[in-house]
Amino acid sequence: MAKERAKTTQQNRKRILAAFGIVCLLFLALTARLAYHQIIKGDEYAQRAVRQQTADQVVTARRGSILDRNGSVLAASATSYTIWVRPDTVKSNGKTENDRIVNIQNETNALAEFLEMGYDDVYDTITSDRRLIRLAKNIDEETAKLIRDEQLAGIEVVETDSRSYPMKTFASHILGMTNDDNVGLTGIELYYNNYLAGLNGRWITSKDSAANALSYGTNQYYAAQDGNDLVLTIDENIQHIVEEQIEIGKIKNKADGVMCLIMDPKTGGILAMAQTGEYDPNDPRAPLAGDEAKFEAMTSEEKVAYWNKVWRNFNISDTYEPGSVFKLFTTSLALDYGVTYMNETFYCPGYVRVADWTLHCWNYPAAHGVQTLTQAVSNSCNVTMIGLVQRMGLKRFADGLAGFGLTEKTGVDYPGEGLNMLQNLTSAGPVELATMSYGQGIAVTPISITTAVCSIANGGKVMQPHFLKELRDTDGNVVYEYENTVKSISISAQTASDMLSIMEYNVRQGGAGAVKIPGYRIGAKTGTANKPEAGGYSKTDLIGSVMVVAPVDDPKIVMLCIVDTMRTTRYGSTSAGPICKAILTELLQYMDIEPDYSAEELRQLRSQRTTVPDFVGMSVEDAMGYAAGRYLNCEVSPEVESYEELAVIDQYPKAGEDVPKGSTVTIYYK
Amino acid sequence: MARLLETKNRKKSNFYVTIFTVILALFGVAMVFSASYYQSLSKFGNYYHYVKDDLMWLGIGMAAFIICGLLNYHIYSVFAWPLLGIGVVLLLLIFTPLGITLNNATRWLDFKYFTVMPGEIIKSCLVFWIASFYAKDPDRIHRLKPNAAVLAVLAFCAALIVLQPNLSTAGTVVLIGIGMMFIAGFSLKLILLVGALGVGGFVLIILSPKGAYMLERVETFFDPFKDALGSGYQVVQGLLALGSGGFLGVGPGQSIQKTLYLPEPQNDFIIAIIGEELGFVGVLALLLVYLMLIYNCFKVAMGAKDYFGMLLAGGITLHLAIQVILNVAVVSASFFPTGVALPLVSLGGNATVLFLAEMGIIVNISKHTIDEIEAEA
Repeated sequence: MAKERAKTTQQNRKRILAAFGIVCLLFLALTARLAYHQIIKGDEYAQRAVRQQTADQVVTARRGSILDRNGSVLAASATSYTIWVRPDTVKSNGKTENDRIVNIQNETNALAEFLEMGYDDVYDTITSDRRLIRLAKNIDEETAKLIRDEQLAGIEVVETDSRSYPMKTFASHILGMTNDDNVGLTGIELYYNNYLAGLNGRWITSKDSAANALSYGTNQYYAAQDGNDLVLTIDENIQHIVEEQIEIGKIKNKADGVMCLIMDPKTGGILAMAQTGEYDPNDPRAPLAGDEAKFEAMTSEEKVAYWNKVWRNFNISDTYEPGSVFKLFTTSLALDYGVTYMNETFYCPGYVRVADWTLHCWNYPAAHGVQTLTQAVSNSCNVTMIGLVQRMGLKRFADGLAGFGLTEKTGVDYPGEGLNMLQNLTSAGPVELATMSYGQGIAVTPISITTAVCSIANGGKVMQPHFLKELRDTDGNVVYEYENTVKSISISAQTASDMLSIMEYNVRQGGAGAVKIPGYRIGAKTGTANKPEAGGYSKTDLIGSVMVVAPVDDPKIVMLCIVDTMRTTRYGSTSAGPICKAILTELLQYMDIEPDYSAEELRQLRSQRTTVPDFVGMSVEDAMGYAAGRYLNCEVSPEVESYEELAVIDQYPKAGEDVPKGSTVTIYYK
Repeated sequence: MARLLETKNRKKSNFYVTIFTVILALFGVAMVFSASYYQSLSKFGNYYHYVKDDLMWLGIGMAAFIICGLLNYHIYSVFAWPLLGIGVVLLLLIFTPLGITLNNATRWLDFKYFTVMPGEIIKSCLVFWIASFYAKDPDRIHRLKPNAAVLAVLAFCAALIVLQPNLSTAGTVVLIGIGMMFIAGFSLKLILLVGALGVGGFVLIILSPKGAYMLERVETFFDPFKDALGSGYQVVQGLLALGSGGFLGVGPGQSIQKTLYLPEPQNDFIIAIIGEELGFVGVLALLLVYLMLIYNCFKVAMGAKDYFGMLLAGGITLHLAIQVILNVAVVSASFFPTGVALPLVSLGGNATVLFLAEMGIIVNISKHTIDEIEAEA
């Protein structure tokens, strides 16, 4: 056996065959197992795989621009870059602890230099405990490229579509702003967000585990649909004039704020809307100039309240007490219902008894005496207004106000419109009715009262107020044009025309002389009211306003200017009046409305002298307005401390005297 | 049955073993390239880093295949003891500074210009030694002492490998040894007993302090999706590849799982990429090729002219079969995840050279058949 080679036995062969049998069985089992994974579980696994293998990227639609009526860009989309940091990656960059510290320092230095940020700010952010954190946004392309080329650990440069407002604070309360995701947050940006935003597309691709796109596999591209460009009824030039003048007016009056709204009465299109304290929507959370120190000291809750106040559009969202401007509606409706007529004369004894109350005219115990309707409006005679509203009765008065659109929101294309606060129009008592007739105890939004007055300037047709002129696609084609809509009819064309002549008289001969511009036929009504405060009215704080229609023979604009808490004068005519006049002077010229001087105006214009009118019997407010229309300054003696409607009892120089233009007339009320 | 026991077509085995070996090796190169080019590009900036490596090992392996095919296989009997000695020495060198530690395991020796995996080499050495040991006196398989000696050598080698730690290679070594004893005619009862002891040993190892790392991998096998981003990551990504392939596959070269999802797709998990690109059909075809190769190798064993040839061919075939089965079992989440290369197909290395050499030995054994010997006589 030792020499001879051992032979394979039959048992060996059987065992080999058995071994092969076992191998076959195991192969069979494994085949079954593979079939289970590949065929039975195949779809489930494949789906899981697809989920990790596909990149579903959003293809951002370009947000449409906002343009003024002449095509100037007010808001546009711009490409900017955002710098994101993955702090874990930053902190684990390097083999040894020492390497890591040095690398973080180098990275911080590089970023601080590129982004012009403080070293500590950058350091704190890139070493924070967050998984992903934003280091900087609104980075320009050049800087973004520099940072990208640096290939810093854990730094990602992401292209974003950001909103840019090239004219900074210009028209900010109209435009509103967008949030970081480019979604409208306030104003027009919010109201027309769906049109501006467009429709984002998607790009689905296969990617490797490091998120690089693969050249094979899935590749589906759904193009984005860019947003529409929005053309507003706003006129950049008019808006500019207004913004400039209200800032000047605010300083002159030492006022809390000045607001102004200009509409085209024939279309309802808003030509300009502004308030002092315009913020910069490029950086809406920055405090307004002058508020920095105050802002620094605020708690975060106070900051939110501050922002909401700054961003709020007074002209649409807030209400104010209109005072005598409201008499326009009382008079209009009385004429329209036929309860009075233009030449009717009224007698004012200085007071009237309503229910158990005695309501005084402002100059009581003096009295307006006999006056025509036009004079009564010009004199702002409360007794006459009470008489007119009593003739109409609550029901008809209420219906009339509804016809003016004052009982509900105007539906202007702007978010957050406020609602007028009138007396209860179904159950108001005689006293409430009486006070409402001359604009007290009520509050209206500037947009609603201006819209209502527009109808007087538009033959009685109340037009839907609006900002939108048209929508354009990316190629500049008009895809939607706003159709001017008549909301309701307030008064007849005849009444409207009569009212315009009353308003014109008020400028020419009455208390709205402050807005008088030679050569132009301008109508206006002024108003002054105590500012409401907790539990009643403030004794010292006043809101003055002027409503202007120009020119009255073919109204092109209706303007409302409100001065919140004027401190250098006491009246609407003297606070808001000069602002209106300054705006009108530039505006009428811009609008190419040729002056047409009357013989009297020409004489006055050429002359260096003027005749002192008779102020006695007028209210101090009206007297001051009237004086302004005659190139005279007016001084009240003694100085008025609080707002009261005072009657002029004497003046110097006397009426009829010939004095140089610019002379001062002193008026006495006691 | 009887017909299968006869070895009439044994000469054809020579051809079949060669052809299936070559098919597998060439298919392996193609799949290694497909599976690895993306990773190669990502890590080295060119497509060919891994496939170049594979071709080099394949070249060496083919040379080994031809040499072993020509070299009379009795030489392994003559040098059985020295070869075993070399294998053991290499295993011991692991614990010297020559050892390379990767992922908490020391499995390679660094010889500056090339690396050696003693765990792979010892498998072949043991096959030679065990075949030679029992061929000296086939009666040894029925005696206690020699069997105890073989088991002791197996246990010693396995223990050295466990210390690396490399549980799967240790297990493979033990399985090959037991398998060869089974073919040699070892008592079935005792095999069951040894099997039981083996299972017990596994349990002991897992419960040992070093077992925590291993246990983690065992747990993963029960539900790889439970920790799909941690210990189950590779298996899950492999299964996702198999599932993505479905029945017909996504097409050659179209795998997405190889794009850095599945780690090292050209190595132990290459069959997952094959499954993704060529589908269940492709994997099934590959398994059939393996089965036919194994069948032909076993046939050579059955027809070998002497006991040594029979046991040597049997051991080599077991080595091949066990590795294929373990590999597919791991990828299909049927066994705990462990590093077992797919013979001849996975990216080449020591194992490729050894397998090709072993296939060469089979070819050589098939040249010396019973018929020839009878004809000579």
